[in-house]
Amino acid sequence: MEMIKVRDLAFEYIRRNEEGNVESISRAINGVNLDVKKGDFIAIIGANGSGKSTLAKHINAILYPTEGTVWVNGLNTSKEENLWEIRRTAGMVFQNPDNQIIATVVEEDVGFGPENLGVPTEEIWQRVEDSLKAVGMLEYRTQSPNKLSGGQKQRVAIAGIMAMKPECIVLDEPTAMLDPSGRREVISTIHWLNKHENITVILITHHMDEVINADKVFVMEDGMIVMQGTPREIFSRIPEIKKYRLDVPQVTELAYELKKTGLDIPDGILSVDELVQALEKLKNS
Amino acid sequence: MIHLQIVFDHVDYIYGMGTSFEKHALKDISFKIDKGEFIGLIGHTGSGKSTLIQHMNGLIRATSGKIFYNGEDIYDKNYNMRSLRSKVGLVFQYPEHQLFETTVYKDVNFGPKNLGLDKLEADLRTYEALKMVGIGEDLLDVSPFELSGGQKRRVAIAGILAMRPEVLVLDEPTAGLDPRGRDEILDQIANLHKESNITIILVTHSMEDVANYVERVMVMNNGALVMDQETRSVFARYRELEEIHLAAPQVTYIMNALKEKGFSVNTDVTTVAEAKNEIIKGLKR
Repeated sequence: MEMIKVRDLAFEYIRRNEEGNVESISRAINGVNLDVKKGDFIAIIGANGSGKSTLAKHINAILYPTEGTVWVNGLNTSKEENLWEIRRTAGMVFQNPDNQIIATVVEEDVGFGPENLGVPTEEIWQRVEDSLKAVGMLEYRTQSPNKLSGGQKQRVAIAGIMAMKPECIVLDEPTAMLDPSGRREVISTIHWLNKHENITVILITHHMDEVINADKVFVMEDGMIVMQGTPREIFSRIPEIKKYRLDVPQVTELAYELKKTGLDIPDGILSVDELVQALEKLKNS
Repeated sequence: MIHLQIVFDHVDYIYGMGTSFEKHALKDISFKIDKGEFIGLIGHTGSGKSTLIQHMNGLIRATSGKIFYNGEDIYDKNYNMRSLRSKVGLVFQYPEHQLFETTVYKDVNFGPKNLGLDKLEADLRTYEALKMVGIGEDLLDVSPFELSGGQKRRVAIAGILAMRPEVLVLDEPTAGLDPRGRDEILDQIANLHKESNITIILVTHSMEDVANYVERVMVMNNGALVMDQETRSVFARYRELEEIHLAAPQVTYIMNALKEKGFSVNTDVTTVAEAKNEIIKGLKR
């Protein structure tokens, strides 16, 4: 059984005026089919307005389909009786760390989720400790969140979701407001959770370097999935990627430019090491 | 001919002095900026970048030290602080949050109107500013809220340009934009610099953006200005940058890795185009 199954999904944002009459309809998702297996690390990329966040919000039932169906662990997200179970299964982390932290002490913020799920008290504290450890923030447990850096705050937000023992975490541009080291911290934390706790991860991002270690990448445009494949497959199709207003990691672009001059360099180079190896081969031949 | 435009002389800023929230946000900051420079300001979250730029147009007043604009002490009791605000234009992060009028034209017109200029002059400046940011005439009567993220942002910048500033300070102008949106806005800013020789200070977290556009980089760490050199020289110190939670563009790492493997390449390059040329030369050597 898939962790997440999306069939023929369509979603319309309906804007109404003051009288309640429909002013405009915007079809943000226009026919999406998607399967995510348990334990996968998938990335969704696309230009602003392509429908990525709208799609993400269907996974933990913040939005319901206008057409089509979304199942999370076999549960239909349109059925109200499934809501709690779905929200416990799939957690979401948003862009702005300040909008997600509500308590004045780190460990209390992390405990908020399980408390609301009705988890017994001693177990809450155990979960708080385990989650903070998993994101590397245990030593900050009694601190005030407003003293933390952006990356640290995002890790606390992730711990807050982890404490609810989800099977899946959706992250909507979690590093958009972070500096380079904050970005590294957050991305390596979610990879760790994916590998060691088998958490299914869905990462939405504009930073192409965050995507290279995903199992699968989906590219969206105008509410539809227009490209899908492994990172290597996707980043081998550079002109197409640029057509969709996206970019590739600098090393991938460099390899592509070198290849265009006639050098024998493989497609889809994703890391500094791979490029260095390819160039070494050329030098020695 | 050098024309010293902005001079900071041992500036300190402490907020919440005497309270338990006291923070020494700027520590002994000294630097000189010439008219027409294109500077990048980088630093980890919380390093003092936003605090620093708000001193440049007098929004925040230094606790100690002097600041000179065009040779005049801005803390002199006869200094016209209001005129400083129109000479040093500050565009905050997510500038579209400041859009409020019913049409694009009216929003940009607001600034010059409030400067007390006559209608003809205000209109002239509005058209001029919108042209500078590449917003076409077909959008003048459109509501700013109908525009794309990147377009909104350019309208907000036009609102500042309509005041004809001599210095333009932009705080993370590419935050939240997709890759193509990022390129468009930075190209527009670079164009502006070339055509009107306006001094530009770009606060950003993207090392690649810094490398591709600016000539000089100022680096902050924990309230202190720790590096202030031309772009290449700053990124050559990439190990030091890493220690203060920053990084160099990926290209820098590629070139250093190649050099370690025995390639005869100049590690001073910071853009994909430069790297391509260096590598081709290096393979032939």
